[in-house]
Formats: sequence, structure tokens, C-alpha cells
Amino acid sequence: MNEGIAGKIAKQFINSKITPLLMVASLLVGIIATFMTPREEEPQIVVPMVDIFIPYPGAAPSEIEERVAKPFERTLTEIQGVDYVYSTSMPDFALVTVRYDVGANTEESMVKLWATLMKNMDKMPSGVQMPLMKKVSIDDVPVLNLTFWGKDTDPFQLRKAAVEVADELKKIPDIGEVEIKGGLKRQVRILLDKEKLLRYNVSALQIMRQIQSANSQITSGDFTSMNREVIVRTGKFLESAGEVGSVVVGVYGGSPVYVRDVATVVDGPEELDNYNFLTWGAAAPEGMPEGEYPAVTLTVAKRQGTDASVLAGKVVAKVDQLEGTVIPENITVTETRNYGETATEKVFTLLEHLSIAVVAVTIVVGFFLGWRGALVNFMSVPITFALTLLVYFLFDYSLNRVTLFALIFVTGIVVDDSIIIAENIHRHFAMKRQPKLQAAITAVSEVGNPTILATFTVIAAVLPMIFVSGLMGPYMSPMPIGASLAMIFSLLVALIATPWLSYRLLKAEEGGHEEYDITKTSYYRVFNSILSPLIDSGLKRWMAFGVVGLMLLGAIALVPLKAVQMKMLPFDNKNEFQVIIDMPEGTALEETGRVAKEISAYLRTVPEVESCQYYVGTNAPINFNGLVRHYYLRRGDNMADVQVNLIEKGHRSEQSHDIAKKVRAGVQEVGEKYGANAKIVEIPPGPPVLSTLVAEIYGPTEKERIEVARQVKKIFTETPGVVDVDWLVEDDQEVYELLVDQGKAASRGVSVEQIAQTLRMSVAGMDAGVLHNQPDREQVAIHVRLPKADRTSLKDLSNIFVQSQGMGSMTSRLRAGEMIPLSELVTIEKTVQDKSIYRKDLHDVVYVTADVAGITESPVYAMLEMDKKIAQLKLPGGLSISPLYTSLPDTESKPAMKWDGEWQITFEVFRDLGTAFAVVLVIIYLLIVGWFQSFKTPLIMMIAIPLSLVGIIPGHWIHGAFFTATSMIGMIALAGIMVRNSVLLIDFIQIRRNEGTVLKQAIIESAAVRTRPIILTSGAVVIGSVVMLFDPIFQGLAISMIWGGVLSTALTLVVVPLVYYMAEKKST
Amino acid sequence: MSLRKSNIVFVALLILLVAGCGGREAPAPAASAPSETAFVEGLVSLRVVEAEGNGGYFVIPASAVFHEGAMTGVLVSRESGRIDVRWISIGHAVGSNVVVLAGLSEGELVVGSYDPALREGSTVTKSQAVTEEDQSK
Repeated sequence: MNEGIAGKIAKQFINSKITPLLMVASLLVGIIATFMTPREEEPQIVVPMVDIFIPYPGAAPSEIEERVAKPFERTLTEIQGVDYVYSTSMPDFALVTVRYDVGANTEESMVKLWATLMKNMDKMPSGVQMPLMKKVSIDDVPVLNLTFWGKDTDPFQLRKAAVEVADELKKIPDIGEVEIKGGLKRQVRILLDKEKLLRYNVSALQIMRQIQSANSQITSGDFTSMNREVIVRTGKFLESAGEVGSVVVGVYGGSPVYVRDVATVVDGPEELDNYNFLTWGAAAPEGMPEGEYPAVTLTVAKRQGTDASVLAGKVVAKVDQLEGTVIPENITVTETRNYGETATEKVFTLLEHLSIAVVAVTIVVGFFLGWRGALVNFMSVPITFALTLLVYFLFDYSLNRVTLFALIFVTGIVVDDSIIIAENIHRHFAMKRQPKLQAAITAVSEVGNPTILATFTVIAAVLPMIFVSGLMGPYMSPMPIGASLAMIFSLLVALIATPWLSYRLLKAEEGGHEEYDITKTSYYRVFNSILSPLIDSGLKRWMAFGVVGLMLLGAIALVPLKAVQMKMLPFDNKNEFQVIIDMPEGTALEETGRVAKEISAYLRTVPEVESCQYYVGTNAPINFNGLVRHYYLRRGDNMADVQVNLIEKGHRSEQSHDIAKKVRAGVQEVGEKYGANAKIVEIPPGPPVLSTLVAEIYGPTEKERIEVARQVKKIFTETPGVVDVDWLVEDDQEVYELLVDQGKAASRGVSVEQIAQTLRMSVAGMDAGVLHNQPDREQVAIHVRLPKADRTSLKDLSNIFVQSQGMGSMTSRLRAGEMIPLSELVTIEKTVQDKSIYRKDLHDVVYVTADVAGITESPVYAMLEMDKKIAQLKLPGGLSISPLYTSLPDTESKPAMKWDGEWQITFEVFRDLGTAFAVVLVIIYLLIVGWFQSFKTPLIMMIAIPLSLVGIIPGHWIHGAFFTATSMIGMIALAGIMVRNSVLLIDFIQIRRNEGTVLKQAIIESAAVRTRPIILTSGAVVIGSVVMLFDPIFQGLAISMIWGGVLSTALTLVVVPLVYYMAEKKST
Repeated sequence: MSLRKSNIVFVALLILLVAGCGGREAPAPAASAPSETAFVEGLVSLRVVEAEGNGGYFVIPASAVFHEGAMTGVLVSRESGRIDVRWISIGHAVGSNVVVLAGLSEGELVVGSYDPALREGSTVTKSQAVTEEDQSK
């Protein structure tokens, strides 16, 4: 027999001394690589997103949109590689978000963006300030959160301790951004006293200016004398509150007026602008006190490409060291997020699953080939994986759930090559036709070449998945790459290591050789009884085909019947979720705090909750989801975030998604009581989107858009299963506009700017400089403001005074310095704050967002249901809208709606996977045509592919699972495996026929001989996939592989030989 | 004056509360729970003081307010008698009262004089007696 490539390789290595060395070396580098590769939970995804903040103080959203956002957007879309441009025009500034094609080089994109921005700055209206550009990157997401809390502390002390710790932590190598959330900074507050200001004839602006000029010190130069230089320095910085109080701000009655005469100077915490509390829940560790405690959170991000778990370990060790010295006794530091730990845990769970899969597969092989055969396979798998892990390391991949998922996914497949070869060697040994060495080489030659072909068909099946575009691309790409690499390595191992191992481990004596009269094996008898009647009788054959056809139709029918639902990815079982609370615009901080407090008080009673931390007025530390949703911009008196940490998943029976669903009602009950919109936000398993369900409403005018949005929102609310409904339209917030009477102001020598500045200083406060030479790590600002009690109503504002500039203003004859009450100069108008204007890809848009939970878990079905209702909407002018799915509306002249959110990614992923599948089919066809030199045979082999649906769809139905993107991946990979089975089957038929066997006999013999390796390899795939069933995300893939594998293997063994018979019958 | 009127209302409310609830006895604290009874001046409801011009403002007795660092709080009694700590923002003092800017809503019952012995989760009975229950509950 011709040896072929496979036989030649086997001959080289089967007795070589180098083979065992290669095996050991591969194992060693693999183990080293496993520990050297950085571990993280999420794959490194470059989200090429840049936020540009363009300040235009004082301008209304409509003006900002027209003058700033629109021109910028237009120029930004000129840049090559820009995918989407979003903008939000808010009062005083515009936020433009640019998203590049995923995978684009960030630095390059930033440079292009900056160049374009600068090119157009001259076209901006005057008053537009320098834009601020911020790159949004996955590495901004903190990997470790440390919460500082304690019984007898306050936010001021907590922040101080946290800042000190942060300073120490920064010294650790590889540490990224360290930030502090919550707490109060030290500040020297100058609380103005309105009455005294009037009495001493001092204005607020004057205080500001005097402090600024008093707080200066400069090096004046040096004197040289007698060969020496002496430095001269002038002035002295303000170094204490006392010194600030002693600054002279004016003269009254011939004596100086000091700051302390007209204001209270306080050195201490700044005015409260946030509340941040930690509370332990029902599942808190032993000994944690009840009640809630003021808290401050220190967040630690990592540098790109470093191992989160190593960094987290170092940080935690450092903090332990600082306890008692930098961290006072009364402050406790608790880890409230440790992605390093979860990453390690995830990685080790997956590695554990991987080992279970390998062991399970070995046991299956053991059943068929005995323990020696099993051992051969058992030893070849780790070598394959070791090499794959080495390549991961060399490619700068990290060990994360996707890269490891690729390994688990191929576990069942990589053993196949070894199984086929070991099985055939085993069979040849048992036949005892040749001496042992020769038998082994013959065995490898016999199946080697079809094995190579089969391996490439599987690679051809998975590799096109690399072309999945969009945000999902980076999630998917390690999969085809990892799987393909593992397949190539497994082939090499099968050709080099397996024969070597088999030759030494498999015993020739095993089994009686006389049994190997093919017609006497049980396989032969079974197939003879099944296939013979079908081959002989055309009617029975067609009946068999009919049955299979019906099964296939029945299976497919489950999809339109909604017995099996489509979803992009199911929820993962995480240890955290967030509650995002939005109060109506204009809600006071304390009122928001009260809602957050009540919600967290409810949450802590939930048995699975370990701790809750709520952040009012500031955002909670973001996660990947928050990054894309811009949660880091959530700062305001009407916003609060609750970070809920659940007990470790090993200690609870419920999945995080079920817990989130369970608490939603309770949380929203509290929210509704106070008019708050409280959303439960879970970490999405795939790429994050604005919201699961997003309806983008387009239309000619803002009024129309909002009107349509209101109706759509109503439909959302009424649809069961649609939850957390919200829209990106602010509530009406009252605004007092103080209109300056120009004439009066001029005649009194007061400028509008002066009034505006004075008011700003009085109400919002202004920094008049910093206190110098302080031991504090953070700057200590000198802040001028009215005390809170003096700025509660319009009445308070009206008795603020400004100073006339007198003759100097050229408009007044008044004496300079005369105090003019503001109430004389301004009239008050009550209006409503203009709403932010959102734009997406140069279209004005209003977003309505929602999530799905409960009855419908998949947004697609909710969308389809709501579509009908939306189409029935009666709009003014007799117009109606039909929601669009994939493209923006052509025209803005009439209202339109487009679905976005998870749908957009689902659509892209299934479209790309579908295309990949089509490409896969073509490549497989080409490969087999090349091999068998026939146009017809490949088609017969590919019949097995649709047969897998008979198993896959009902499998999902039985498990009550969603048909997800991972199910689709399973289906595609299965196509490769099934074709490989057909290849092995038909290849043997042809070998037998070439040897002169008649067609019918060749077919039955081939089925009998090939059944064992086919069942073995498919069994390995099935068993290897079982561990994945328990993982919420990979469940779909496991179901596809298991059910699809079992049923299509069984059907392939019958249907493919029959079809082949029919096709070949005529030609013989 | 609105001020005096409010004081009268305040006193009247107190009397009403005492008179209305005095007849009932405080339930005996559970034997297992180590509890102590504290007496507070009374529960005061948050009131709106009408002011000429712009709307009005909320007031509570100044004695109800406590400070923790930069935070200002009061003890609020739920209908069930459970005490909650509520962080508020306060304005000027008006006589013996203080203006509440944010954090409380109309009609809420506030412990009239702050008692450090009372904590979140304590229970106030209708007779103004306060039972501090086992905190671990």
C-alpha cells in the first residue's frame, strides 16, 4: 500500500529517540506558558471609542447642536474607518462620541481625529473652548475596588486615608489608573456673609481677586556678590485658614477689612456633594456589622497586557501592609471587586472543565480500545493543548473565557485524529497480518491521509468565523484561531506521537485474530440487518428517507413555533449587578440618597446579597458595560448607583440573572414610590450595548420625535416581559433665568459679566486658589461661596450686591465701589431647561430603551410583538411607522423608527456566522472534490450537515435553552465533524471497491468497520461537550454538539451509505 | 406670624400624640432580645411653613438634627415604628426650628429630639417609649 505523507511521517518517528523528547518538551513549554500568559476574565477588546467634549459655556442645546455638534460630526465622518458618530448636545457643552471599526489602531485613530478637530476649530463660533478628547478603553475599567468604611468615621477621614493609600499603591509596577469615588476633600471654605459684605462695602468678586493676588510667591532672581549667589524670593503663599482669613479685602472707615470680617473661614471637608454608603447584606461573611456605614471606594485599573490577578494580589498585600499605619484603626478596607480573583477562578474552572473533558473522553476511548488505547489518547491530548497554549502566549493572547472556551470546544475534536490512528493500529495489531512495526505503519498509512483531509475540513469549518465583524469580532476570533491551531497540533501529535505510543503501549495479543473475519463482528451483523433490506428494496429506502425528511421538518418547525427561541447570548452567572437610579431632573441630592438607601435596604434582605454599596451624586466604579454606556458621566444630584455584590457563585443555587429578575419587582416598587426610574443592570455576556432593547426614533422635529417616542414608550411599558423602560429625554427641570436689564446695569456701572460671575461665585462657588505647603496628597482649594442656608430661594439671591465700577466703566456717573443690589438689575423669568439633543450618524434621534426579562428573554420576540402595535400607531398627519431593522431611514421628513441595541449585534453576528457557514460549505466541497476527484461524492457526504439539525433544534427544546451564537458555532463545527465521518466512511468503501468487493458488500463492510472510529470520535465530541452544559454561555454549543452529534452520527451511518449506493448503483 | 402659629401646632400635635396613645401600654419586650427602653420627647411630623412669595419651606425642631462629620441626619419613624436614619440638608434656623432643604417629605414623623441611643432598626412604640431591639435581627 502507498504510504502517503502520513505513513512517511509515522515511519520516521515511530522508532525515533527524538519523539519522546519532543513530547516532554511540548508538555513543559505548555505548562510554563499557562502560568506566564496573563489571566483575565474578559478578552482584551479594543473598543475604539473616543469621547470628545466641546464646551460652549452658556449656549443652549439647540445652538450647540447647530453650531458645534453638526459641523464636527460632518467632518468626523470624512475620516476613514469611522464607524459611528454619536453626539449629545447638552446645555453648555456637546459630547461627541466617535466609534471606529473594531480592531482599528487606537493611537492612529486618535491622531487622525485630533488633526480633523484642529483643522475645523477655526470654523467654531467664538466662545467655544478647547475640546477635551478622551479615549475610552477597556483598561479604564477598574480590576480591583477597595472600599474604605468604618463605624466612627466620616467621608472626610475616609477619603484622606484612601488618598494616602492610593499614593502608596501607585508605586506598584504595572498599576493603571487609581481613582477615588466618593468622600469629601479638604477645602478652605470662605462662607460669605451677605449682611457683612454690605456693611463693609466689599463685593464677592473683590474677595476673590484679593485672595488670588495675596496668594503668590515668586523667585525674583539672584544677587551675586563675593563669588556667591543669593536667591531672592518675594511673597508668601497662603498656608493656613488663618492666613486666608487675614487677607485684607478692602478698607472701611479707614481701617482694613479682613476676609474673616466678612466671611466665615472654615478649614475642613468641602460641602457635601455625594453620599456613599456600604451595607452588608444577608449573605455577609461572619462578624460583619449590620447597618450602613459611610464609605469611600478606591478603584485600581491595570495597565494593558498585565495580569489582573497578579496585580490584585500585589495591591492587596500592599494594603495589608499599610493597615494600622496609613490606614487608621477605625477604618476597615474591604475588597468589593476583584476581577483578578474572578479571572483566576474562571480560568481555573475552565481548566478544570478541560481536564474533566479529557478524562471523560479517555474513559470513552477506554471502553472501545481498552486501557492501553485510552492511555495513548490521554497522553496525546495534553501535548496538543500545551502547544496551543504556547501559541496563545506567543500571540499575546490572554487566558480568558473565550480563549479557554476554544480549548474546551475542541477537546472532543482534537482526540479524534489520535483515536482514528490508534484505533486503526489496534485493529491491525489484532488482525496480526503483519509484524508489529509494519502493521503500525500500514495502519497509519491507511487512515492517515483521510485523517489529514478530515482535519482540514474541521479547520475549514471553524476558521471562517474569524470574519465575524463588529464588537462581537474580538469575542469570537480567538475561537477559530485557537481551535484551528489545536487541530493542526492534534494532527501532528496523531502522526508523530500516537504511532510511537501505540507501538509501545498497544498489545498485539489483545483479542483473538480469528474474530476479525469482518462478517462475524457484531457491527457487521447490525449493519447487515439494517442496511441490506434498505439497499435491496427501493420502497423501504424511500420510506427511510421520508422518515428522516419528516424528522428534519419537524425539528425545523420548532423554531417558528417558538419552542426554541433565538438569542444572542444567554446571561453569565456573575457575582455582581448594579441598580441604576434616575430621579426626575431637579431632584435634590438627599432625596435621591433616600431612594438609594431604601433600595439598598431592600436588597440587603435578599438572601444571596453579600453587600450593597450605594453612590449618590457620583457614579459607582464602572464595568465594561458602564464603559460603553457612558456610566462614568453619571454625576448629578438626581442620580445614584447601587453596586450589589452577590455571594460567591459556588455558595448559591440561583444564577445571578435569576436573582436580578427576582429583585427587580422589589427595587422598582421602591423606585415608583418616589418617582424614580430604577433599572437593574447586569453585566452582559457579550459586547455591551446602550440597552438590550433600543428604539431609535427619527423625525423632522424634536416635538414629533418626542411624541412618537412617548407612544412607543407606552407600548414598551404595556408589553409583558419588557422591563426597565426608559427614554433619553430629560424631565422638565425648572430654571430661573435672571435677565439683566442692560440699561440699568450700564447706568450703574455694572457689567453683565460681573453679575454673572458674582452669581456663579455665590451659588456654585469658585476656587480662589489653593492652600500651599500642605501635607495632604490632594490639593486643598480655597473656595468662595455663600453658605448653603443662604442660597435656597430667589429671595436669597436678590440681596446679593455687586460693586459699581464707577466712571471707569464709561457708562456711569456713580462713585466706583458703590454697592448695587442685584435685585435692582435683574428680572426673573421662570422657564424649563432645554433638553439634550441626541444625534446618531448625522440624524436627530430620540432613544427609548428597555430590557427584557421574565416572559420574553430574547429581545427579538419582544420586538416582533411590539412591531404590530407600533405599526398601528396613529400619528398626526395620518402617518404611520413601520420599524426598520437594519438600516437608518432614508428620509428625515417623516417619523421613522429603527431597532437597535442587542438586536443590532445579534443581526450582525448571525449574518456573519451565516455567511461564514456558507463559505464553510463551499470550502468543504472544494476540499473533498480535490480529494475524491468527483463532483458528486462531496454532495453525498454533505448530506450529513443538515441532518445535524434533527438533533440540534429538539436538543435546545429539551433543555429549554436558547439557540444562541454559541449554538450556531456548534452547528458550524459539527458540519466539519459530520463531513469527516462521511469522508472516513466513503473512503473505506472506495478502498474496498478498488480491492474488488461488490458495492453492497463494500458499503456494509465499510459501515461495520468505520462505525467504531466514528462512534468513538463522535462520542468523544459528545462527552467532551457535556462539561460545557453547566456553563450558562457555552450551553448552546454543548447542546449543539451533543444532540447534533448523536443524532447526525446515527443518521449518517445509515443515510450516507444509502445515498451513496443510489448514486453509485447506476454507474456500476 | 407663621412662626408662632407653627409652634402652637407643634405643641398641639405633641399633646394629641401623647393623649391619643397614652392609654395603650408598650408591648413587653421579648425576653430573648436584650432590649432597653428609651423615652423621647415625641415624634414630630414634618411641616410646611407657608411663606409669602415663593411656596414655603419644611421645618423640624432643631433638637431633632444630629451631625456626623459633614453629614446632617435625623431619625425618621416609619409607620411601623421602625427608626431610619435619614440624611438631610438643612438651611437656616427659624426659632427653635430648622429649615429642611431636602431629604424629608411632608408628613413624615421625625424623632423630636435626637437620642444617640436610638439607631437604625430600633422601634418606637406608639406610647413614645422606644424599644431598642436586638440589632442582629
